[in-house]
Amino acid sequence: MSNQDNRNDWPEAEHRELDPLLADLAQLSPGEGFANAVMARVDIPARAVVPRPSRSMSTRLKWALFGGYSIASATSTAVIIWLASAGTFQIGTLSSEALGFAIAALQAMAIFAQAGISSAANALPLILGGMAALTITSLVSAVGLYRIMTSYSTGRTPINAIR
Amino acid sequence: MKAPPDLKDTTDQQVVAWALEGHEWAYRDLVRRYERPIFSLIYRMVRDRERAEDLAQDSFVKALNALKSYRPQYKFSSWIFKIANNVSIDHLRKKELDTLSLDGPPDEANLRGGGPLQIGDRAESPLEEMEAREIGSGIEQAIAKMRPEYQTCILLRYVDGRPYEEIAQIMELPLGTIKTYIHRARAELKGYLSTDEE
Repeated sequence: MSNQDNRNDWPEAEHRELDPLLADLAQLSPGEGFANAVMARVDIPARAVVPRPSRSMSTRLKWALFGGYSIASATSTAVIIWLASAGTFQIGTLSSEALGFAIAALQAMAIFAQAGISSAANALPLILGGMAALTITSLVSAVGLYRIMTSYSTGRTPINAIR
Repeated sequence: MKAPPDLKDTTDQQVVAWALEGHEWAYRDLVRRYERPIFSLIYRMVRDRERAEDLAQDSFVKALNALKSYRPQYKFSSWIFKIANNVSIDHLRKKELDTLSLDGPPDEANLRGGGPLQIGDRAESPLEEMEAREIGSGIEQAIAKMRPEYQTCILLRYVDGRPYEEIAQIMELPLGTIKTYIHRARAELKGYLSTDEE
């Protein structure tokens, strides 16, 4: 005798006369207003409202941030150049990891400044020119970085599509 | 505010996700999807329309207020049927205890809220009258005489068309037990019906 579990067929195979009676069992409806009565007792979570600045405000803020960032980085770089040209700052002691490839450019400028400029006052045109160039470079890189960061979608993923 | 999308072909899980975002229309849609099956199950178990509406409401409120605890890898229908079944069983047990403490050992009629005729007591609309006649039929009365576990199995299987696996999930019982319950329930039903015929 087989030990196979064939109970899947049991109810359907036996008492066939019940099937039409069971098939007649219909779904019943609650009274009118049932859904409203349920909804009155359900605590619907408050929707998270994220305050967003207006479009013009966010545009102004964006350019103000870019400008500020660019001027700050250009100023700090120019100050380093000035310190280097005045001989009070040893660029070689800085970590190349901290300043990256900018170090190499600064070293070249510092050598040029030390060779051709004898005082801090004489370095002013070089500093101003360097600031302007660095401001433009920083601005372009900041805008590029911003575009890369915003090119990725942050859309929500549905919890689960399996029914 | 997000406008309600066309929810006809949307999965329960997606509607739940919208509900969790705070959309009232998503809650309403979940109620609309399950009010009839849940009410049918409870009504046939407690056999009192007013009580069944209260218990069905309680089941929905419990489920919808605990939506965060629903795990979408499982069927939403299994989850909400499980809650409704537990609410019904708790009610029947409480009723049994009340009957025991007040009147001594209960008979079948006490356990079922005074017997099947009580169903139609407050039938007011033509629809309710029709349902009262429907639920008072032979097969309905036979179902009312069965143990609650057998009733749940039979109703989920034959009224709602749930597969055995889902019934096992809803009742938190092994699949083999569910098959045995349905087999025995059908045998009991046949016995009750043939007794009535005699």
